[in-house]
Amino acid sequence: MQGILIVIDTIDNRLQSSAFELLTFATTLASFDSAPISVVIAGDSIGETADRAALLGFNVIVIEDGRFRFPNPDLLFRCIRSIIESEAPKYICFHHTMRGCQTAATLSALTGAPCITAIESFTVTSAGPLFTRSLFNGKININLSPGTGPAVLTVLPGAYPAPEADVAIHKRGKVNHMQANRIESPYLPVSMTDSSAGAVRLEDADVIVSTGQGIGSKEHLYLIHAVASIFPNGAVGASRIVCDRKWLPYGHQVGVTGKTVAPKLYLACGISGAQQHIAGMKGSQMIVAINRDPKAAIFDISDYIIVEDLSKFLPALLQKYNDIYS
Amino acid sequence: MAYTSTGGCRVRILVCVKQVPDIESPLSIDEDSLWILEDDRIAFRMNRYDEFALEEAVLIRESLVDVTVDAITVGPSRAASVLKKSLERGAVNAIHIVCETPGYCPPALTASLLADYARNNCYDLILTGVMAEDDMQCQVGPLLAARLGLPCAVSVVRESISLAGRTITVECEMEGGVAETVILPLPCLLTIQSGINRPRYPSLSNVLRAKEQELLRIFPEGNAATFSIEKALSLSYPVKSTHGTIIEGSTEEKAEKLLTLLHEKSLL
Repeated sequence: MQGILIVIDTIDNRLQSSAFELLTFATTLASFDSAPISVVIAGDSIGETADRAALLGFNVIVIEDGRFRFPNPDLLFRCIRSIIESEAPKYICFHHTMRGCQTAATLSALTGAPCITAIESFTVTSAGPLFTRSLFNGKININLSPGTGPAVLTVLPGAYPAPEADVAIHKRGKVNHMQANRIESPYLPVSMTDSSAGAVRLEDADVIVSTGQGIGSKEHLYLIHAVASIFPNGAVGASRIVCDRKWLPYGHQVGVTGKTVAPKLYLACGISGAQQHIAGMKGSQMIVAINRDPKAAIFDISDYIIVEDLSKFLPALLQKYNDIYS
Repeated sequence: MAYTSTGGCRVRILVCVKQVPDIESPLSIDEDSLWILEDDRIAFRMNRYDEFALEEAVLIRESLVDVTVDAITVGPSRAASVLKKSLERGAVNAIHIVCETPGYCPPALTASLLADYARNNCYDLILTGVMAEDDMQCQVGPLLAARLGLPCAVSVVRESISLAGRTITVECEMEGGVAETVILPLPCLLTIQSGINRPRYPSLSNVLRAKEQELLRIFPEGNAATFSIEKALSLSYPVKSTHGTIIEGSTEEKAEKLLTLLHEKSLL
């Protein structure tokens, strides 16, 4: 039992933007355990992605199967189960996505290894690594020990940086192919929809003006759109609850279950700072938060803090902008 | 929620609910740094994601013939209140697996206790919230499905049962506004994402019924776990990464200061 197996997520053969962050996490973990790292990449046709990982020096196991065109966490756990029977890795690492957690938890139940999700960092002790994750919306951290045996882990997006692509210090890794055609799965993905198509691409915006339930109602959203429009490359983001209330489509959602973004400016309007939201935007270069609650958690990670009611502040901001810049 | 009914077919649904501390309550770490201090300043309530799961089960019950909905929880005595709430909102039966052990409860333990009950009760569909608001582990659903050998779909935002085909078609939300449609055979387990429905307020008749109704209480025997579980070694407060600058003044002054700042940073 040794080594680290990391599972890289693809959707429609596209690598998820933060997927390679897992390589950095695994490399850091391996530096304490001097364990070899293997990368599993599953998809329909993913040779190019596999080559990229191999170029960074990692051994890659490629599973190409038509049933992986759309994400198939069920088929994936069945494939990984057969890989770990021969490789017996100590740690199996996934990205902390819905599918990643599903495959991780399933493998944990089937192998009897503990599962620790949404890892933000770790320390090394004489009894093995101690993984830190947050509880209660980021108010408290917990340190969890998987013990000395194998463990299944999911790593929070944004917790580790992706390796720099031009650092070619490693020897090219080997690429091995695995056949999945004998593995059956009752999980049958039939189609995929993208509700963010046509919407502004949050990932490409320099400035994201994001709204939480502090905006009060759908009717007040025009203020958020108006503020976003004063920036040359601005876009509108939202917290989960705003999308749940159907005030904005889910394509605008920032956070663990939405998009992970890192714009030059993140202007958080009426966002309380739920941990799942913060995980999706804390990498922003500058964070300005406006909230009427001086104790809002969002202020803990903000560079500039404005305690104000949005319904008063945003009109004043737009008025001043017109006075000065128009 | 849509359905294809063959009529007269009994469908058994289990909904797993969890009691969580209200995250807005003042939370502090206990003396031993092992768990939070559970004093009377903390309000407990049903995990919001489980409210959506329960509502979805009740919607299925209302749209098909002869469906039963059982709500189940694992937790200490105080957790009985979320089962009462479940009955008030339309669950037919409620099962309380009493687990008084204080502190961090590993998802693997919760899932194993739930599996012991569910295994003997032949459910067609098991629903859980996509995660619990307090620890956000996203594990109990898939762990329970794996223990029972059931297929599982997570983060479901729409479902449609075909009793004739013994299948369920679900839409699973992924990150970034992408969703996939998946067909699963019944029985199976779904974890329900928020926004799938609008959880109802309890009806008066259900409130009255819930008052009278006994909960089935199960006291699990000493846990002979065949799996290893993670240990919670300590809790700590996160180190605040930045100390932000507070922009002060009247509303207009703050607006002007912000614009000046953004201009200086070449953002405007």
